[in-house]
Amino acid sequence: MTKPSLPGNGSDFTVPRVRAWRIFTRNRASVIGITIFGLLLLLSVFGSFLSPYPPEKVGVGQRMEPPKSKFLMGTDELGRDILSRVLQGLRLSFLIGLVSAGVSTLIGILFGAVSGFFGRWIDDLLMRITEIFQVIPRFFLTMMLVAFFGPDLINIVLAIALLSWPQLARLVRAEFLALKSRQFVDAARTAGASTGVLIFLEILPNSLGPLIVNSTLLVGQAVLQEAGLSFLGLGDPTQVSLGVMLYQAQDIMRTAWWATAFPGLFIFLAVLSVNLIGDGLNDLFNPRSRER
Amino acid sequence: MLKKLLGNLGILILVGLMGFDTSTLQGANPQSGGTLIIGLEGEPATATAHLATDTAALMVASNLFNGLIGCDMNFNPTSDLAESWSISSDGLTYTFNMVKNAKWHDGKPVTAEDAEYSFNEIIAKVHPRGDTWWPTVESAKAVDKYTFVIKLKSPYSPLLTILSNILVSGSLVMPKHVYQGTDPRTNPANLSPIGSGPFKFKQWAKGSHIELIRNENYFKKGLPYLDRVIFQVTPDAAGRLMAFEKGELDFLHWYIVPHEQVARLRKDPRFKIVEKGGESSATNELLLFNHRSPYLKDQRVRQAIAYALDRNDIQNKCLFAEGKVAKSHINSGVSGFYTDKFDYKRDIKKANQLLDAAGYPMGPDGKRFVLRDFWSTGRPYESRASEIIRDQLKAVGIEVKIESFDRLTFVDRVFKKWDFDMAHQLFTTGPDPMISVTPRYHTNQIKKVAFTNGMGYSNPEVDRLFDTEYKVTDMEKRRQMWIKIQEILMRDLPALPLFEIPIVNAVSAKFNDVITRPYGYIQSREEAYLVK
Amino acid sequence: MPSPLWGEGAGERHDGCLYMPWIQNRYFRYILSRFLQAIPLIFVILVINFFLIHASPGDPVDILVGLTDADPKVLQELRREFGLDQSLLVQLGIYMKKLIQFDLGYSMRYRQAVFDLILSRLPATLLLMGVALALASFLGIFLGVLAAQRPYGWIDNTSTFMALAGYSMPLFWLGQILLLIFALKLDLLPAQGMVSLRAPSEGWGRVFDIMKHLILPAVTYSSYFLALVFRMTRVKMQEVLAQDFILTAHAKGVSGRQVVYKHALRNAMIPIVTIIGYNFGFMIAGSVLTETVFAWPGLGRLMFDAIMARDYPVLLGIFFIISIIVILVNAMTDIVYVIIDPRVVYD
Repeated sequence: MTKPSLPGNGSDFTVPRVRAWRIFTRNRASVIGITIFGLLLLLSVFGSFLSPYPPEKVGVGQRMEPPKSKFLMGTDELGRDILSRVLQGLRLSFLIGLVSAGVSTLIGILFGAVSGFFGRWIDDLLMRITEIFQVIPRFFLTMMLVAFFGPDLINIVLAIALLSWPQLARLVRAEFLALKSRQFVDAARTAGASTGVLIFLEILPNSLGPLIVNSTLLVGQAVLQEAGLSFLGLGDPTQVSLGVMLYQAQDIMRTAWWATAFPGLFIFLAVLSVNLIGDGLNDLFNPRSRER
Repeated sequence: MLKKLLGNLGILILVGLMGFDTSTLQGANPQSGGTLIIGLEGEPATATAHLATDTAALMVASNLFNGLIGCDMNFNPTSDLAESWSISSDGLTYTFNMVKNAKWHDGKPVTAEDAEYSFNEIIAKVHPRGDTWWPTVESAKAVDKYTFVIKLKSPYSPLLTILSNILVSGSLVMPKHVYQGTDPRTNPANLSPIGSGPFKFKQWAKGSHIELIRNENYFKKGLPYLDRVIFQVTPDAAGRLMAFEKGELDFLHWYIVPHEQVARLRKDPRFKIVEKGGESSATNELLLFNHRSPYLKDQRVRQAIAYALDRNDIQNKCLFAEGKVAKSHINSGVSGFYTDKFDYKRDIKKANQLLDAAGYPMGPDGKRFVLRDFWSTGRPYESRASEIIRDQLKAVGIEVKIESFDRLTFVDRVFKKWDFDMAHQLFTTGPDPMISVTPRYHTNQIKKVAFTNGMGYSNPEVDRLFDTEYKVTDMEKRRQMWIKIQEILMRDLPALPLFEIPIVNAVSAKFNDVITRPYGYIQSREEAYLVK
Repeated sequence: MPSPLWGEGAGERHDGCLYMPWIQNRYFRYILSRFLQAIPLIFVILVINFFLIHASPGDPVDILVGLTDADPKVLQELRREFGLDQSLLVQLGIYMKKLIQFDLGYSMRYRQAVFDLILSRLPATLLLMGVALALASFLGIFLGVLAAQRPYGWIDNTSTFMALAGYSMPLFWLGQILLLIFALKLDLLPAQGMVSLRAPSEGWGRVFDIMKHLILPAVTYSSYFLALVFRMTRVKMQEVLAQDFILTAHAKGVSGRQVVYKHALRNAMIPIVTIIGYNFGFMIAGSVLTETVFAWPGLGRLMFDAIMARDYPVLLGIFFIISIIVILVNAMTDIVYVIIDPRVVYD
């Protein structure tokens, strides 16, 4: 099903791919971003094969050994290989980021689309709800949810996701409000398209631009939030996530700097790469680079 | 002849030298002055000891108030507000003669009436652990201005130990004229106390620090030496350690000393690792077994776990070899009662045999059954212990699922909902095991209250011993009864003792005598002084 | 002493009240209307949080006795004292009733009036936030302007990278690394706390002392905003610099620097103000991490402790006060927006 490429469409998702790629790569930063992201993705996917040791095995080496050829990133206080744990943690952090952003996006699209399309009292209700989220400090609520319902990985992902969708919903709503009275929608409606088709197959694809940008940024934010929760002791200590590694490294960081440097570095690289990609996408979809 | 004389002289000199405390040589005359800054891991709720038993509150309160008695490193009672005391021959009447020159920080004199009010109206009514010992008291009265008498219903050996230990009894004497007619829970004096102690309350900057200054009119002549004692709230372990190394903090108590740093700090001349001050608490880390679990209710399974675990390895990795394996439900520091006769030696074969005999054969995948292991956040060694245990129990086919919770949720799951299989928990076992050990294993302690018998363990034989031993006044007889209790507990294993928490306090080398008591981590710092 | 009731405009009656002359100020009225609109919002927030907190496992009285095996009578008394033994709806009703009388309740954990407690911790957080925001704004704007003038030059590239770094790093990790380097290894700055406890100072000495303690936390905290402000300034400046009226000013002979700073900056300020204004809520939340790492005695840490202790009066109180502050800041941001850019019109 081809997407209409009408003038004055506002969103630029219909830009032919080659032109899009060129715009994207003109920004040096986003090229770097994609490269780093790609590398990290490869590492995390093939991590279990690349790991020299099982990440949870206690005592593969002496406690708190500095980086050397046998343990490229050193060992932690239980003698576990940090490189293996970082690879597993990277995978988990990506998972957390992608799932949180994904769930947020889905909920955001649903609410935003319904609100923007139908308007009136549904719209009012949604706006009130998102206002609540705007006023409450997000992180406090996340802390409360995780503290109360248990620092389980699932709870953490859900809590982060549940508190991130409002900003996406507002975005989608704004796009829908702008697009729903356009010609191509009327055209589709007269052609007999049902409401569902109108929402999901006509308007939505044209509003994806800013949505994708924000979703990408959400991935980075989710990873950072999980790290923050773990630092406060609200992470899931039974999992090997980069945030939990940072938390466990606190006690020994004074003498074993590698235990905190490497996990932190990888969180940084992961979030940085995602942000750079988001930047590039931003240049692509919003030529005026309007930021919220 | 001359040789023998010289020899004897030599021996005398040697003995004399050995008797010298080197710290006395260093700062032979403690000078006045200095500020001791103590790091706290959390902010206390009040600066008193009557409402809560958390370490932070006790650390502050012990400097502001006095008890009737304290005790020395050999657990002999020492005088505090009571300069002397006597026990009647039937063991029912304790008479305390109070000092006559003690004054409250607002100038009024401290009398036996304050003691009477404190015990009857405050401690008996609001202290969380009052019900452990107060029911044995028939009356506690001031018979004249400086004489305070406690009459018991029946002989109770641990009484003096309890009175000397604020962790157990919170028994600090509080000013009647400040608390009379008010609710001891909400009286604003809880936040800016008026006590009789070596230091006076100066200010409490919420979230930041509590400052105390020297009480110039302290009834113990010459004390305290320090000008000020300040308690700083430092919730982050890494930041706290850095502050200590920079000299911003002078004292980290044993529950917050990071064990992997101990070896390094010992070697550093700027710091001292003081290995005393926790003997009153005598804390053990235990692995609780829920007797409602279908697997753990079988004694053979519990024993199998005891045989399967290499607790030496656990202690080594969790405490960085600073602690010891716990061989009994009583800590070895409570030397009057402790025995290690009934400990388990690691024996994987025996463990497997017991599990087979209990009816849980090893499956083709090497697994028998699954157990959940809970721990609560805040103690890094518990997290490490659970991971090592999971690793070790694989060898006997027990798969361990680890879950962790914040403190309150943990308490809820383990002690109120009784929804767990194994759980990690610290228990004090001193100063007298009747106070700290009995409440964990007695049948009548199976109630939905935190830190009681959440395991659901019930053995009438040991209950009988618990109910009678504290009435016995003969130390040797009591000891024998406790040996029997330990035998039963180690056989039944309601909980498996894992390791003893090492008594290591980190102090700046600039100060001496910061810790002089078996409850040194929370004691008053009246004897501490700056080394010049 | 002139009473506020009889101010300058007292004699003139407009459509405002005689007794409160400032009510005629349209900005004040705008803010007031925003508050009134927000009342149902705040109510909903409080109710949701109330039930959320009470749905959680964990009994606050356990923390109150210091996490020890306690006499059940004592526990029961405590529950009674704090009204915890009554049904949820009754508790909610009591709370709301007190709230209307501006009584935020009594903290179970700290045994103090919630309002006093919050007030005692708020200044530290505001100080930290204020300094961090000021740092982020000035540095961000300064670097953004420079970077916009020479795109892809070395200032631009370095600043962009540093800004992105600040945006992508875990806040507490950055803080701990800064502590390791500057407080421990180089021994230049203090490690914990807001003031020097061993040698307290008065007057200006105290101000410098606090400033010294503020450096590392503020730098850590500002990293996120530095990125945002820098990037926003850079983009806006680039847009504005390319516009016609700049060329016109140049042609008229106005000096280069004047052109840039006077005309262009003013136009760039709007989004910056909105960033700061609308992200205020985030900043309050992010303070938890910074305050924990540096033992800064602020509101964020109080929030965390209250969550851990299930101290619901404090939690609800903090939500209440923060909601009010956020609404206030949002309203003021909108006003500043209008003042800076007269083209913006509100309905």
